[in-house]
Amino acid sequence: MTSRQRYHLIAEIYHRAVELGADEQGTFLERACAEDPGLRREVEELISADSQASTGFMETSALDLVARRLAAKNLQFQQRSFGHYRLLSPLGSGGMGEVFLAEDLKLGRKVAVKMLPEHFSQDPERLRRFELESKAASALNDPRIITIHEIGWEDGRPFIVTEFVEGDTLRKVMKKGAPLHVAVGVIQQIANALSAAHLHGIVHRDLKPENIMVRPDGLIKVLDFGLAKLGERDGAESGPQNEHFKTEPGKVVGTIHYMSPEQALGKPVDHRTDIFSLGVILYEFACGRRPFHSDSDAGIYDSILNRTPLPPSKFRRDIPPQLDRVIEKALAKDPRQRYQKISQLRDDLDALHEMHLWSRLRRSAANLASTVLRKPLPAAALAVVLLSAAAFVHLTQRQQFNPALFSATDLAFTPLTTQSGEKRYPILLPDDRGLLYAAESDGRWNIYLKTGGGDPKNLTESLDAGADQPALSPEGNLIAFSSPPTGALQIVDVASGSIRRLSDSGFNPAWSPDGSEIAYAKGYFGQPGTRAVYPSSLWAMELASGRRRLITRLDAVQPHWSPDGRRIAYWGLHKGGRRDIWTIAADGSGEPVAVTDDPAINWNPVWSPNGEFLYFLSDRSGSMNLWRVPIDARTGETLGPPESATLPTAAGAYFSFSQDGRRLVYVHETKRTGLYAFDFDAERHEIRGGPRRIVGGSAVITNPDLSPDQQWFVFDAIGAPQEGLSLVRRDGSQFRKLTDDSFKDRAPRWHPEGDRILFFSDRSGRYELWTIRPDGSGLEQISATEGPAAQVSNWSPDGSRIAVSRQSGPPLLLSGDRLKRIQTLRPDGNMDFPPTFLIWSWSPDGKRLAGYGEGIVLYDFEKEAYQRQTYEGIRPVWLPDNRWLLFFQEDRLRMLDSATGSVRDLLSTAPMEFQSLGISRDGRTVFATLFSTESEVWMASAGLK
Amino acid sequence: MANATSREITGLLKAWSGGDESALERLTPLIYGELHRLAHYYMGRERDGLTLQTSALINEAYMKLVEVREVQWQDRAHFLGVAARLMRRILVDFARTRLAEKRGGDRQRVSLDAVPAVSQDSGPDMLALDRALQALEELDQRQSQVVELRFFGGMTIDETAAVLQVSPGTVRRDWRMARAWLYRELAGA
Repeated sequence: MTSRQRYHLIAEIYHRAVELGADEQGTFLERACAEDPGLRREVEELISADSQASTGFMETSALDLVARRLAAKNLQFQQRSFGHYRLLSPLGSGGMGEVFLAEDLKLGRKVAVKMLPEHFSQDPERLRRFELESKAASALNDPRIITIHEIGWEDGRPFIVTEFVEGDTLRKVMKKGAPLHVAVGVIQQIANALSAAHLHGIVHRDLKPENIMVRPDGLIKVLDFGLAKLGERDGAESGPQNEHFKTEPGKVVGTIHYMSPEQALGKPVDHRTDIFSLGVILYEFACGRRPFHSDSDAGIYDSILNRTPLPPSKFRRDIPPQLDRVIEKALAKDPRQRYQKISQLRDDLDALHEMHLWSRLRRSAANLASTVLRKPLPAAALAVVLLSAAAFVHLTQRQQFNPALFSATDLAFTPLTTQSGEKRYPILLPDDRGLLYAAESDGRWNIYLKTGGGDPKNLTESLDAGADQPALSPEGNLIAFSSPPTGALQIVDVASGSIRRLSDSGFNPAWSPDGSEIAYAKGYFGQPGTRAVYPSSLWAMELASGRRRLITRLDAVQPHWSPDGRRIAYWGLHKGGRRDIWTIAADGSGEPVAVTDDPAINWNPVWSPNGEFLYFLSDRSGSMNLWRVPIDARTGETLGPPESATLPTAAGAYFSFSQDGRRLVYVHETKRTGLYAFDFDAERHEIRGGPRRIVGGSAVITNPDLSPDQQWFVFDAIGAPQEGLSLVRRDGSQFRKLTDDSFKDRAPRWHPEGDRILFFSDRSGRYELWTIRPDGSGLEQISATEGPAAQVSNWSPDGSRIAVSRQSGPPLLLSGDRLKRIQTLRPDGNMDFPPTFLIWSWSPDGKRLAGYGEGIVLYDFEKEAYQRQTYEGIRPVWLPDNRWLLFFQEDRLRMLDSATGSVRDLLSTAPMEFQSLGISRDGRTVFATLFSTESEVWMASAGLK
Repeated sequence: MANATSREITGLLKAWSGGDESALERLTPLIYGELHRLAHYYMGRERDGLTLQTSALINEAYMKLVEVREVQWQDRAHFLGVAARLMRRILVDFARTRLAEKRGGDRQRVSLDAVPAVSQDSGPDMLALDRALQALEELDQRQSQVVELRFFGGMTIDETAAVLQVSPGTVRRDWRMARAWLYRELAGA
């Protein structure tokens, strides 16, 4: 009997048995299976299974089951995700719920958690629309719109997690009063934020001074986009077709002073309601009175609907008639008579600048800082990643991704890695077979393959030097990579794990689309902001023959080959420090064609898989995010300006597309830096105390220098949102910005007399030396160099000379009257001079310089010679004895004896790493900036919804 | 769902049954979309503590995906069979990749008190079921078809009977036996 026949026999007996009563069943089975006890057991098992299965097994359809499981999974995720917020203290409460300062235990940062009232949850559809709207506003990635991290539920109550903004509400700032140009500056910032939102069809609806935060550095943040609509209690109006703001007198949550007439009447509203509300705020801020006021709500409504307020200039004499007119137009009762766009209002305010009505207007943000409480660097200077349940994060801007690449309008974001440590260069294997990336563990980079749920597999474990910068071959079977620090180019076979060496030195390998060649750069870069080697030429190697060819001698790193194989995109330095992207014909013919040409940091160029766009990372919007530009892949000509393709992160790095273009993986980085001080015993060579944190946060602080009177630190800070110089007292108080504009000012150094600060800056279009007084006055360019641009530079101990590092080649010495005499400190041929050599400190006796380039190198003025001390370590500083130096290597602070060349360790700050180092003139205080990096790989994928 | 879309789905189903695997890639997102819509609905209900009244919703989802009632088919039975098979493939795949249900014997049993009530489904592990169904197909092809049409295709007894051109009583008997057999297979796995 075949198994099929036997099954039919079982079926026959089974069907008859189940139709019988329990007692009859026994008799029947005994007879029917008399000769086959196995048969009887099988039938009985089925009967027993039947009674258990009839209680619901497969009762619901598969679609239903899978949907329920998906829901359960999402709910679980949300409940767990609330679990990593610890509420710290209440920040305030109001009609829209209570706000708490909370700690995100997962990312170790402060956040604000707003618990909404329970009744908000009665309408899931409305809450969903609010979620979409507020996320959409947040996803605009405008630094002036608060970043929403998560929206979820806890105990039946919806909650919103946002970045925590240090500072005061605009209400508080207004109460203190502010000069007119400060008030107008704030309104301009709000108008800019609203303009970005309106452009994407997002209306705030509840603009008021309570909803605007002013940070200590003067940046404003608009809160609670879309919340007003959610707060409406009228459940009957919740259909998706209803876009109206229905307001009834007495039912309004919070203040009504900033309401537009159409809101007061319960009419439909659009973006022009925000224009009216902003007009009310401007009026009140400018002259200290509300345009519409009364003792009763009814009186306020009447005033909003029927009364024309007196022009603000009646109350404050320095208000020009132009400002009266701006306010009058914003406050027109009829939306059609108002500014039709918020940008028009802003333009009119800009025009006031042009007319030089207030010469100091442009500095409003800086001045504003002085009217707001002074605190250390804002912790929330950089917004960070969305943490929400992956499948429910939506980007609603259709135009953000190339429809050819992302067929669906919605994108889902999923975290792919959870282990700690830094990660770079994520790559998706085809068909979702896994994720490749480079990750650091115990100071060593390796390439990992993560598949399914298991632990990531280290593909390069056998290499002592480790591995970085993986690139997947077009067929998906080979990974090219580079081993630090020399950059041995190698290839690993994914399946067999066998490794083959291609070249002794090469970085950021990139495969040609046919897999026959690998392009690579000669120079390494770790972070786009700091380039160790310049210039870096671009090469290609044919795999079959090993033959190499030069593509360009111009500075080029991180190449990426176009899908048709004709062009290679890369980024490089030029114009004395700008980072821009070019493409060049892959055969090296013709000139490079510029893709970007602006002061932003532009890097990580990646062709879209269809070759129609070049995607890249740029900080042009104030934070590092994804941009793209339409491009002719044949000629390299760009076909339009860069467009934002916002990812929900304000610190994106290293991205790549899946081969089918439907997914994108990127690294979200969370960096924290701080300025720390240690007590040092310069005789006994001992760290006696510390580190004490002076300032810190998510902005990158670097290159600190202590004033000769030891009272003030000057340093440069990147990412808040610009790069400029700041001052803070040594106890962490009185933080203030010294420069605050679009230029990059770096590596400040106090003059020995303490009256001037030297730094290098791109203000003239290339990096040159500048000085500024500690009070912010006297900004002056003091060098005009040729050749490689200036870098970190140092005063001689007597303040009469300056040693100038350069992007490449030997340093310069400025001396003489007005420092006009320039000489080159040429190497004498005794030593292989490193491609890049930066001077970090001048010995107190003025006789020697200490710098670094492939290790610590000293320069002796008497011998006119360089002397290499070590092959590792950076940023050496002299102790007062003119013999010993401190320097660091990652997390290790070390000492070097220049008389013997011996080196010993002082301490380790792991897991924090050193970024910069200095010492007070008396040798008793060592100060350093330390940083830690956490990174996660995230995936954006299309087609989920 | 617009008529054009149901026509498109119909066309894709035809193409797929004719051996065009790329049609599956275009059909999958539609069904994933429905899954997410349903899941979102469940999540809303769950939070509000409401009982689940979803049969209409599920029917609607199937209707959208397989708009058979408005389409004149020359071989309706064949078409419904194709649609159910497609659902099986996509849902099993979804369970494996998105819900991280595992293949084979070491299936995940969800503890009922550890998770929200929506998952109190006493439903089978999709991957284990898929495998058991393959085994059943070897033993009794019609029974496995009944399961495919009913459980994956969301069809009623009568619809299933019409597709297979047998009596509703036969479908009922096949279903009962197949369900018991599958239950035993999965419980003993």
